Amino acid sequence: MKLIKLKVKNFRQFYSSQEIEFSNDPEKNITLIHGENNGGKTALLNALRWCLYEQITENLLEPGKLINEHAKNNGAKKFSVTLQLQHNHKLYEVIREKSLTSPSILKVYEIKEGCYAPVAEKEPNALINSFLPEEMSEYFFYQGEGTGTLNSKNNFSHINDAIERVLGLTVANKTVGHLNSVKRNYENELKKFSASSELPDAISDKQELESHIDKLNKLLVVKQESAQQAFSKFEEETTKLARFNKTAIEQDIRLRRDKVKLVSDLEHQYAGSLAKKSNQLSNWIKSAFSQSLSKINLSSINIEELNKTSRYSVDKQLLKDIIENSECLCGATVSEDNAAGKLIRELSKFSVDYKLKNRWMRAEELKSKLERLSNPKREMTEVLADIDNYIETIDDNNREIKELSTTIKESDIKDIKDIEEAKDKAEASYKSLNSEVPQLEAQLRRAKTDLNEIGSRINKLLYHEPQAEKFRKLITACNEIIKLYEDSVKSSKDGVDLILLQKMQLLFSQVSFTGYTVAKDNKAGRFNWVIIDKKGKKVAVGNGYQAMLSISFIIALIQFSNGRVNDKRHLLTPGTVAPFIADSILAFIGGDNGRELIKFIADSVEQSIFMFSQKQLDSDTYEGIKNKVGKEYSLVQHTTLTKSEFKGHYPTSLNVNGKTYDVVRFGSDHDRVTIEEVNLNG
Amino acid sequence: MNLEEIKAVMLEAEKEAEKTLENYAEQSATHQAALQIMQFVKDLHYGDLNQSRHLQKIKQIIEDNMEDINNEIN
Repeated sequence: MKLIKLKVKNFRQFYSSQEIEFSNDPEKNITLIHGENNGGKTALLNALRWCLYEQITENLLEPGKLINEHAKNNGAKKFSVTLQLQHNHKLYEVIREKSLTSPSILKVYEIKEGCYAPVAEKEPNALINSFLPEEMSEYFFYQGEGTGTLNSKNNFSHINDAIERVLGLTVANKTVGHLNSVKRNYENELKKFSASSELPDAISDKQELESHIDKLNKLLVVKQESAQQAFSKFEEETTKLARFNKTAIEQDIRLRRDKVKLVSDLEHQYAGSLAKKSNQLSNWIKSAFSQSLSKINLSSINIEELNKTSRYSVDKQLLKDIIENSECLCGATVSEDNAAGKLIRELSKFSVDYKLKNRWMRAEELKSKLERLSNPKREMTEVLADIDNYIETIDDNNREIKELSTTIKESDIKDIKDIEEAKDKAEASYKSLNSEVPQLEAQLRRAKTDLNEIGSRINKLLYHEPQAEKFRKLITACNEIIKLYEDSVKSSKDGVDLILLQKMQLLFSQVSFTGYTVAKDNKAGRFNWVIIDKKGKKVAVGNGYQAMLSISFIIALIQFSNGRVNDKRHLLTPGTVAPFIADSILAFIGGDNGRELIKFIADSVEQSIFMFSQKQLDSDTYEGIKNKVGKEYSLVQHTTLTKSEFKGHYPTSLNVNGKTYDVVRFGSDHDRVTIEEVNLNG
Repeated sequence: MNLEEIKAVMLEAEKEAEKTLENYAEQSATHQAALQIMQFVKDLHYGDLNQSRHLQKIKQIIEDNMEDINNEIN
């Protein structure tokens, strides 16, 4: 089954007619719908369920009020949901309409080449259930928030029930029940034909025994289930007790005290390192510069003139000044032609530039000094490494202190007695229930042996009652048919749990980054799914992983159902291919896990419809799926409130893929929600 | 005979076995009766059929197939 189009008319928040077309492109199989709380996401999921099965989810507020309030106040007396879908290459339109005073009317039309069949399908419910049986639909139409969600259910009865539904055993089990009633009916008729009391007595004994076996079977399931619950309670209380252990808490307090002292010391050393860094910084800069300077090769400078003149002590600058001033220090006139001028010029050839000489000497001294300096880079690197190390160690210790503080805070010692008692009670209950299970199993085995014996006795007696021949044959026929059903059910169940487990483990291998996976945990003859770490040890996980566990089971069921679509065992309802529709699937799962989970689902099912709020649809999640989004819609609330009156309820706009969409528009003449398509091409 | 040929022969044999089983199931009177009952209960379960005397209808199917089923097992 593939969904093509949904039209809601005066249904819940949707006033008048609103439509959604679902993506059917195999490459872009996701239809994305975003909106905030009260924006109509849950209402849309319910529109689908109501249209197909007249069912609604448990978290829908005021389930009795499906008609749009504004439409009702304006005189509307009906509301409807229309769904176009494709199944086995045929196009159908399913219309469910309800008036305020009468039951809903369901009609299904086949559409051929754009034309509606003149007459509606005769058996619309049976037809819809052949697309997607109602009992399986809970897994395809996923509700992730509120009460009654699949998130909270992870025990044997839920798992077994889900497997039975997906295997299509609901109708088969019901049929076996009816057949047993018919058989009892024949047996009662048979008693009338017996001349002696032996046969009727044997039949009565047999029926009593069958009823006893039925009761024992039911009791066994209850005991196994209770034993499993008691064990879970025992484990839970034991975990609590570990936190309440006084010695352990005292140890934690001591450890925290030591760590606080260590952090204080480390902070002191850290401050020292910072000061050292500050002090050394100017030296390091100078040294670094000097280091560069020391690498300059002074021999490349021409110092021939300096070498020649260095032995004289006549100042070159002084002679230059005398020539410029045309007067000697002694007062004699100096000109180009006189003797003084000639003498000065002669002296200039051997004069020396004292400043140059001085600079040269300083340069040589400096170079020699720089060459003797230690490596400044190494010292600074050491200081910086120390600083980094202190920061890291302080952070680690502070984190550990925080964890210890949480453990200590949770350890309310005065409650320890209550927890101890609850733990002991759960343990005693588990042990007692667990010992009852084998006793019940033994009773069942004995009862079944007795039943076989009585059955043989009745058969022998029947051969001596010619008048009862017909009923003997009818009972035999009943037994044969029941056996056929039971064999079919039994063979279909074989190994299903392991197939599902493998599928769940595959999901975890791609979605979980901690190395956690799923395992089957057997207790008291029953099992449930648990999360284990890399070493195979069971781990206590939060809501996020618990939700992932449930979703992995649901996805495994859907994949399994898809695989059974051509199942040859005609006595069971075959599997189905149907879209996965999820409202708030990431309510408890965030970040990388959420992104990978959505990608995994989109790759695993043929058509997916995801409904998210801003909180769940972060940029990473969107980025992970945007290439597979074929249709996108925004749910916009129109409110009679002004912006200032509305303030503080929830965000009024939503950011998806860098674009902002209205989630709320103000000043409307009445409250309603509109479905607005997002243009994916621009 | 190489591995691929053996695989092909085995696949063929499996198909034949499946078909034989299907044929048997389709021809078996017990299976036929079981199918009729299943279809009836399915219609009843999914809501299009409003039958108050559903056990009577099941009885009818069993009675119609009684002789064939008994002959089949003898």
